[in-house]
Amino acid sequence: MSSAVHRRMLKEYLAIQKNSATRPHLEVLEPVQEDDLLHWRAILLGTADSAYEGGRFKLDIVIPTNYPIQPPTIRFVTTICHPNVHFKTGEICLDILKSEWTPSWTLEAICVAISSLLTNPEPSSPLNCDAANLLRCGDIAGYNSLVRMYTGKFAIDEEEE
Amino acid sequence: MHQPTSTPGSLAPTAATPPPTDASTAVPPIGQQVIPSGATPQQNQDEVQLTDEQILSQMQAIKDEEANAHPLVDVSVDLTELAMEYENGSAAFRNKIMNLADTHDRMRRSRGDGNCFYRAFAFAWFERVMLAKGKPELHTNAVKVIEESKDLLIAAQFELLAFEDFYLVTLETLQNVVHFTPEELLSTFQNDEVSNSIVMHFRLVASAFLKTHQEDYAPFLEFGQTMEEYCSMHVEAMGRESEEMMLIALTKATHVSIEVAYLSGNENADQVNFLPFLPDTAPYMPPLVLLYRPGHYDILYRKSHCLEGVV
Repeated sequence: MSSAVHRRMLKEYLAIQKNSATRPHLEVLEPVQEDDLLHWRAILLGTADSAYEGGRFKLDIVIPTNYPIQPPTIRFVTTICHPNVHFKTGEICLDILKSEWTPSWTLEAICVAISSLLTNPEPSSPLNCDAANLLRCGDIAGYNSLVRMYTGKFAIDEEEE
Repeated sequence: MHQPTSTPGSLAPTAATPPPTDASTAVPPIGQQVIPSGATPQQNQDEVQLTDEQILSQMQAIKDEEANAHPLVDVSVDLTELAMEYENGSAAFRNKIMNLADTHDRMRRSRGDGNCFYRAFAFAWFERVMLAKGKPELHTNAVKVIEESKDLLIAAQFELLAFEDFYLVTLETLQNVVHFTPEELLSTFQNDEVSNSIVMHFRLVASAFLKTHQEDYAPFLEFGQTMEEYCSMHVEAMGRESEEMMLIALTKATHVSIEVAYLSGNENADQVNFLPFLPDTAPYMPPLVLLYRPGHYDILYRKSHCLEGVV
């Protein structure tokens, strides 16, 4: 089992290095340590003209040994205000990471999907009800100012490790 | 068999917390609503609730426990074993099995993990190729079909990176199958990694066929559902049970015909009803025979197919 997942992750690793120019909102997608292809990190960049603009959001990615039959476990390390992300744990509510996972995804495609979730929230299935409620009652200005405040507080000028 | 579908981007109600109702939490001004320390009522509630991930992993653990009691593909058994399952059951089942035994002598169980159709299909096909010593064209045809399935998947816009490993395991197994003993074939299909890769490849082949023949199959989808959504939810995801459309797709994509024996509790019939699934091309070997009981597929062996050496 484990040899298959390593073979697969090595292929993904090589493809990701080759494609780096084609994904503007994914600043980093790499193994945390070169010798462990089952633990990755990513940094998503907030889209310009969105309330996340200027933010750099770190993701922690754990690849299960039976990947891609099972999905990776991905959470936000950087605190983010988003209807579908848990404010404290960083858990992400995205169907393709859970009930609608299919092995035809790649890690890179998943990260791009998470990146697009930032600007396409689904307030009907919230992990952060406060953020979702603002969207549900149509207070876009309130929502954006809240997101901008947290982006400034946690995702901009954060000290590099 | 259709499950209610959720909107893409959402996960059904497990994650939803009811909107706050009491005065202290009812839509306070923004400044007060969000407290950086995180001590909002919703988050307190979350501490006692299970997260989506925990719920899913618990459900998966229950399913796994049930499924792991059986091998992915079992040794074949005499049909009398099937009859024994219904010893105390209804006469409808017993009569049908008795009549089925006139023309069929053995069956082989496929694990009830939602992948039983694909696994049974692949095993029955590969076994047929392995046992057909005097007919090398069965092997040549099968290898050609699997090699061509790569083009089908690419035409359906699957990423080579995402399907290549499953494809190569399937092709390699099929290429070697003529040198296998029946015991080796069985142990190959009992190996999680190989067996699941083959299941996955056949799932992707069925999905690719449906995606590239949308004009024929989209009318059968639920209102508002796209073929893309249907395939990712019901065809590509491991463990999702198959519906008739997948049988049709796989038959046509592989040019392998199937007959499905429907064993039901219908009391108005004493005979098992056989439903054929035919490819568009002329069949070059007798159909694979599968036994269907609501929600589950196993393999059947027809006496006239004379499969000597089956284990």
